Amino acid sequence: MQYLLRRIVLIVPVLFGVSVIVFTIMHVIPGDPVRLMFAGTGATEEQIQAMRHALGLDRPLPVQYVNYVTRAIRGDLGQSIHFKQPVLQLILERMPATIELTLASLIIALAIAFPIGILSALKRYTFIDYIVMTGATLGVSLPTFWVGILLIMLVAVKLGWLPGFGRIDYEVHLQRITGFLLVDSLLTWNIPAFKSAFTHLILPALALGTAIATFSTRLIRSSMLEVISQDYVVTARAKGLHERVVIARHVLRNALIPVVTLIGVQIGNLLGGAVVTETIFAWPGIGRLVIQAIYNRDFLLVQGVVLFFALIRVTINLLTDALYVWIDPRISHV
Amino acid sequence: MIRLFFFNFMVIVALVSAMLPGLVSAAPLIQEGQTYTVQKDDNLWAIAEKYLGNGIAYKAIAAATNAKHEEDATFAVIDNPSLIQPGWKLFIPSAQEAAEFMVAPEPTGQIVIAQTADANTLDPKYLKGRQTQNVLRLVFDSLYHRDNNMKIVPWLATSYENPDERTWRFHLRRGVKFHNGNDFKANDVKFTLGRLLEDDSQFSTRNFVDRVEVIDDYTVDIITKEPYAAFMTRVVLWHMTDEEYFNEVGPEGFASKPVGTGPFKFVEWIKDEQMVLEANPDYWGGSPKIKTVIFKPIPENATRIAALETGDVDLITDVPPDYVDQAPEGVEIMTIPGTRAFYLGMNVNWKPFDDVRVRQAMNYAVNVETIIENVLNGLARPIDNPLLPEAFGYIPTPVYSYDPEKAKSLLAEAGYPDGFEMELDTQPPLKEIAEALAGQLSEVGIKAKVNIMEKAALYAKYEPGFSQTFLTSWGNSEADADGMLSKQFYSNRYRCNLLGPEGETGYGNTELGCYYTGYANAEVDAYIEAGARTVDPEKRKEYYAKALKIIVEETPWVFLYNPSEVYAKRTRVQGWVPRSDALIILDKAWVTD
Repeated sequence: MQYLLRRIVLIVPVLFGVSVIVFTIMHVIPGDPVRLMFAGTGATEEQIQAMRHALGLDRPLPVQYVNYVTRAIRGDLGQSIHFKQPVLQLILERMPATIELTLASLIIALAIAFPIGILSALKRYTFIDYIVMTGATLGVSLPTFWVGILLIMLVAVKLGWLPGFGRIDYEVHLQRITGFLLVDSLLTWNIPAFKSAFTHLILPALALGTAIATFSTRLIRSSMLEVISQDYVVTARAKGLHERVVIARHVLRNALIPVVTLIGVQIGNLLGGAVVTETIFAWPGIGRLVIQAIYNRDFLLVQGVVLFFALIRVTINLLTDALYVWIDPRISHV
Repeated sequence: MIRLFFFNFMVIVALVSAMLPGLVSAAPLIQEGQTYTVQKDDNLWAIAEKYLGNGIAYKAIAAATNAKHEEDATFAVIDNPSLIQPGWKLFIPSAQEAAEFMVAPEPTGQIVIAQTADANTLDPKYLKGRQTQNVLRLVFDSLYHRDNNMKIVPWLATSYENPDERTWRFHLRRGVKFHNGNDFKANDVKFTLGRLLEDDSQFSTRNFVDRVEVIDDYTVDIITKEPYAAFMTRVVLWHMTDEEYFNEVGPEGFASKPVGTGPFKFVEWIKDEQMVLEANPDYWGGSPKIKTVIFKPIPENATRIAALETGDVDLITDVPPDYVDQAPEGVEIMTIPGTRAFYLGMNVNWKPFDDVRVRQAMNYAVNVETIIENVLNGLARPIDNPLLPEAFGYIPTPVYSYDPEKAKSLLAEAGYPDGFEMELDTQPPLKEIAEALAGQLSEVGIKAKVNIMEKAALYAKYEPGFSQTFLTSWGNSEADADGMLSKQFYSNRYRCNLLGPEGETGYGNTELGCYYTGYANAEVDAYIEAGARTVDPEKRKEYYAKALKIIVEETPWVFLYNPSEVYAKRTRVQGWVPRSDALIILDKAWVTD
């Protein structure tokens, strides 16, 4: 318990550190939001200075930072220069789309990785194992955008099986409550909307999920292999336990710890991967938002999104650690 | 297309005219369409009354004449039915056709348009980028408007006059209503401009507009700080906003549910997902024919094309040039020269580009035609000076052509017989162009090192003068010499003072970012200033012609090309044409099923 509490308290300096780093990076890289805003409009110096002042960008950087942090603590992440809307609102509006995509991808990734990883560990150094490992290596090296475009060309255009972009058909009217379309359509018992949202989710989740699946497959395999050669597994087998029981009870449970860590890390990777996937599939999520924000040098929006991602990541790490304790009670004594 | 339209016309006509005996009646009705030349003191209402038996049928004459104009340019274009000129050739449709036209069909169907990005806002004050402009232009109207040929025509204002050279007096159209039913009046003009003059407005309006005075409900004066000849090119950019509604709902309320006078009403916006608009059947300019317009932002080119091919989307913008030859059945490519000039800027205070002969040699060394053919799939035209032929003030200046021998001799004369090394900065979309340029320059011994950087970083480098050469573009949708020359070749642009004493030249000023090539010429300045201040168009043309000659001679740019705007649409979309300013106007478009 004390261990978890310590971890929670540690979130504060982590977020603080992240905010300093993002703030510095955004102000160090070349490019000025006000100049970009006026690119091609022929603004005078007066107008530019007036705009800088109106946006508070004329104050010294440390002052800007302190202002930012004191407001952020109160939940005010400032206003986006490009969208003229509160940063928090922009993020919250797009968050459900990203979470939906991330979770779907995770489910796909694990659904692929678990059976294949276990199978290849059990059949190690056989033909199956070689096929799986070659496939996984290939999978890791295929860029997501390439897989994404291929899926669109093949499944959406050539075969016409699934929609290739967006979240839901326009014709399907869905009352949005939570912003999670699958949830909303079930809440309002709108089956056509559920179907539409579900089919729209498949291709982007597949593109993002397979990239992660290949990683996970390798890790599950090696983690299994490590446990399989442990003494207690040999003992279990010597006791005459059925092989299925040995794998399920002794091997899998112990092999799970690094896998849980992996899932935690993968969610972070999924969020990062969402930037590319969302752009390709015109998915209205945070990844696409942050790309635009960076191009526009929309300082506060970039800072907001990065802080938000950081918060999600540390929270997931925390949950992962909590899960350890549950899977392996020995850890809490550390 | 027009023929098909008229064919449909005729099919319905029989039914319609049977149902509507009262509308077009009496008088010596004409059985067949005929041409008519406008006489002095004619007005369209009277002509309609005389030939078609009812003054209100003037709309049918205007529509038929405009349709004829598409086939035969000797027919007039009637943008404003209350303004017709003696000598204009009109087409008066047959009574039956007129009757059919008068029964405005209900708007039907939907069109899905995929642009590269979503609108940044729905508040016209903060609009940024053409994607936003395309949405807002359907919801809002401006006092004057550019027609599809870029001519500036009366819109929410029916006419203007200049009581003095700083005052622009607009007479507003009566009976125009906002979507909420409020009347559009002079106070709304004053309110709209007032917002554009505020500190956090990115409109350049505040640089030249001094104040706005309401004369009466339908007359308003806009007073500029100084005489400003290109004023009307700016008027078309102001989206008229309802003062009463804005004050009622506040800025956030307005941005989340905007109200304009335009042909379409705002319905719903789910960010980055879809923007839905619906026909405004009471539009003052006549109800649009399409019922629902949906904008779906799709950033990735391949995905946008896929969405078009699967039929999920009807019209896409920013089509990559190489797709043009691959478009399948049911997809139609439409192109029009855009308003951007692409160029290689050379820093004239940076060796060896301080020597005018080197800059000229660069122009001779580059084969623009080859680049257009090989990299842009032919979808661009070479430019001979900073202005495009459509811009006011353009004159042809055919000075440079591809001539590597001449380039070499100029280089030798300048003391670089073996060429030199240079840096060329640009951004990712122009990588292939930059590499093609570098290849061509190497033929005359110039070794160009290409630096690709992200847009924001590129601007931050070349605007204050830190780039030796830079490949970029400048848009001139104003289509007026002032829009280009006063921003790119005027030494005191943005109060930059390039000709000022040492230390005031704007070089290295990252705040201001006004340096570009650093080119400055007092004579050119004088012509640009005179051109901006003079109202007489002929005088202005003279000034700009003189300025252009010097600019081309001293050439701080390698003049490259003007790319086409490329669209792809499903054939079910009819009556829509691309515009060089890249605005998507749907007032006249319709969809078939």
